[in-house]
Amino acid sequence: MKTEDLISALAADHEPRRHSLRAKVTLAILPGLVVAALLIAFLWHVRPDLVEALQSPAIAKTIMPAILATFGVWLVSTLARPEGGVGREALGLAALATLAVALFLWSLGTSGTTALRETLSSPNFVSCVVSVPILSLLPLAAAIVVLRDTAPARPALAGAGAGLMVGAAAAAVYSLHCPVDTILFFVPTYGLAIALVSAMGAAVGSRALAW
Amino acid sequence: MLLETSWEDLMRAANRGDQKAYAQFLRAITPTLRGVIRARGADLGPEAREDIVQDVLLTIHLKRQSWREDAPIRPWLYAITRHKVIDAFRARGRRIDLPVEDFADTIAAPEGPDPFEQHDIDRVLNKLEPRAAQILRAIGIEGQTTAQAGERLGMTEGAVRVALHRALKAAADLRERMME
Repeated sequence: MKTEDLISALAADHEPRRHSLRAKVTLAILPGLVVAALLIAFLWHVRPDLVEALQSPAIAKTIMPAILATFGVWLVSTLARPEGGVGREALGLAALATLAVALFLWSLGTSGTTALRETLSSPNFVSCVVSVPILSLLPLAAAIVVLRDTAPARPALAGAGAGLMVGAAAAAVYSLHCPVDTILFFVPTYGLAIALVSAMGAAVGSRALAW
Repeated sequence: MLLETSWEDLMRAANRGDQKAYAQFLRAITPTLRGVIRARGADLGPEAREDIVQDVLLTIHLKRQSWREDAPIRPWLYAITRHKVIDAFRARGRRIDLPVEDFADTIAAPEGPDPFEQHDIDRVLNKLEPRAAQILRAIGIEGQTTAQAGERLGMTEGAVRVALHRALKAAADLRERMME
């Protein structure tokens, strides 16, 4: 088959692009997140005082991961490109991480390390760190499938970005169940859960996204 | 053509669904790909080099979603080409570096190789399931439209499109495996 013939075949296979990559990734992970929300509602149970919680500062537990997930969509669409390089997305992520760490350190200063040890030995800690990765499985798989049609300069990093995006979104969903509202609990627990999903994404991505 | 349309404009038109613009884009970049590959692999022989050109085209096709419409297309194109060419040379037991400046300095090489040469893509065609190979041949070599191919093979146009897409993906996978 001559190159000109191959080009004809490729052109015949070409279809209009309906969505940007960012929109495609978002649309792909939504069904999995809806499933996660249903699982939370029917298996994990929504916290009984959800309405009050969402009117209190505890809403940060939902909003911060949701913002992180939004940055994640951005980040992923950049990491999916072969040219490499991350720009403003990384700044946004760094700002959010700095804010979380600052909040945590401030809270640690006022409550002390004993309180930290207590809060991290509660069953709520294990529940969060196990549940968020489970809730992430479906949307993570969907994100990887979309990313397989892209050309990430660094496949493992793109996978990690997908894990960060999905893990943060799943953490936001999980917050509707989670009964503990202290910063001392929230930052390390959610942080660890999201980091675990990023690691899962990196492991899958290094193989599934190589091209 | 008096005024050359930019590669970005062609690809943007392609994204709106213009298959002719897409074919024009692929035809426009091919001499540059040949030039880069020839500059680096003069001793590989024209058929081997053309095989690499075809691999790069196939990859560009399957990965075209990763180009963002508001970005310049050359850095994207060169990144994909560089990655694929390095792979292909490694598969032939050679290490090369391919600085991005190569792309700027390269003289486009319009001439294709002897059309009677057997290409790797033909070996791939033989490994595809017969129906897939038939569709790829009908559309590529015989220049039929998806509608015509469907009529001849007793398939709907939609089914032909799906089968064509699968065949191209399978071809890319097979090529990847041949290289390992």
